[in-house]
Amino acid sequence: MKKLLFIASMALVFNACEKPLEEIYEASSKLEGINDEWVLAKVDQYDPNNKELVIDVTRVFANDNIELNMSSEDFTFSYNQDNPLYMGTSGTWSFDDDEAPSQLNFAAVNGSDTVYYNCPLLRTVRSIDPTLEFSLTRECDNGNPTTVYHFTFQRK
Amino acid sequence: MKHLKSNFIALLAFVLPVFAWGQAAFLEKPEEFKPDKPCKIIVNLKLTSNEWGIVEAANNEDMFLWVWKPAEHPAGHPFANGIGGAAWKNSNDALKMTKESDGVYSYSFTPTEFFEVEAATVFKEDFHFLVKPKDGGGYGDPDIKTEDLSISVDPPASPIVKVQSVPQGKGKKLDTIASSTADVFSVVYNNNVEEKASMQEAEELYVYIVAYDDLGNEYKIASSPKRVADFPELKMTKSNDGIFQFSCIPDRFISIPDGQMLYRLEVQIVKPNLRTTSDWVDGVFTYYFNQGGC
Repeated sequence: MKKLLFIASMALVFNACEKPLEEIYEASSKLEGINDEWVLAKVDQYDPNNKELVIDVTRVFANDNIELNMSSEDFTFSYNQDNPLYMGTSGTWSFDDDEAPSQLNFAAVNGSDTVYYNCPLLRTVRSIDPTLEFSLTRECDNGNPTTVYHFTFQRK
Repeated sequence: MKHLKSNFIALLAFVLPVFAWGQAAFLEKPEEFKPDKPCKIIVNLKLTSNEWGIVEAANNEDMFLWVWKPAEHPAGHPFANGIGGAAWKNSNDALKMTKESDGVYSYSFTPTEFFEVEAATVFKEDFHFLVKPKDGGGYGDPDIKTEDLSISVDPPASPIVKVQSVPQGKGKKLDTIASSTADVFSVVYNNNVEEKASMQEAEELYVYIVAYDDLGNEYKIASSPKRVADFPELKMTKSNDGIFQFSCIPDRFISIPDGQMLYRLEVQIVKPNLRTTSDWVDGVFTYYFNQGGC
């Protein structure tokens, strides 16, 4: 009987302590998470017609020391060198959804031209996440995809 | 001879239908089978053993599928084989088969959705089932059912490729690279399928590259296949599973005068300090770049 009373009282205690999850874990802002300087750490590549053969081509970019600055204050991005990853040198960016982004949209400015690159995010990017990962599909002139890169950046 | 030929054709005419129609259970279009696409299982009851009187039962009753592989749903699942405590006596209406013709019944589903398994599981387990009426007997009554039936399904055989490029080449010879020469281009060599004895279990390999521009001018990094080891940038990376890879951005890797375009790459895979033809992978692998115009 004592045992039962103890279990019942403990259940009450724990129930009273229960807090809604949202009060414990505040949704981590992805805008805050992406706002940083990033260093290119890994590049994978595959042909969209043969998705099973994904190869690591990091070595090709290894000596380039490519850095990407993402600002969530004015929503600009800039690389530390001229067009290192096929998506221009600088411009503006946005998420498709600030709360739960699945895609990064880059608008690279080149003189009077603006070129748009829609890059799916490969994982979420909260402040606690060490990497920024997105993919870029390269297309030929008629819009057919020719090759896909997965870029992984680490916080500088 | 003519007589022999006609006899052979007559024999074929007799034998082929036996192979085509001799199976009690089969897929409607086996050559098109994909686990994540709809398929149709067909059972010809007249070609089963009829040991438990299924052919006669089909004259008066609906037929139901009773399936346990690639997966069997638990009691209560919408696609569980039977309903209630005596499931064998109460087949699930959701598994009622369609009567195609006298004695021939079918059931259509998308395997990965129906069984709630991955495609690999479908290929591994195949389809194992039987056909029965709503009440399969049992509990003191004689069983009414077919014997256990199965349909084997296998993944399409993927060709074993010794040397391939990424992006992969297009055209009959797989030698046209649709991407730009500013993109990363890789040659991947699978040493595990090498038939040339002297190249098997290679430890260190290089590429010997000859490039050509659109005017036909020739460019080399190593002057000959014997000199590749002098150029570390030509060394292929090896992964533990025997795959060698060489990657570069052609525009950066091969210095071509302004105004000219890289048109063609010829690649040979060689051992360092090559001496004889036994020190290279047979074949020169040629790739044509169309500069992203596709």
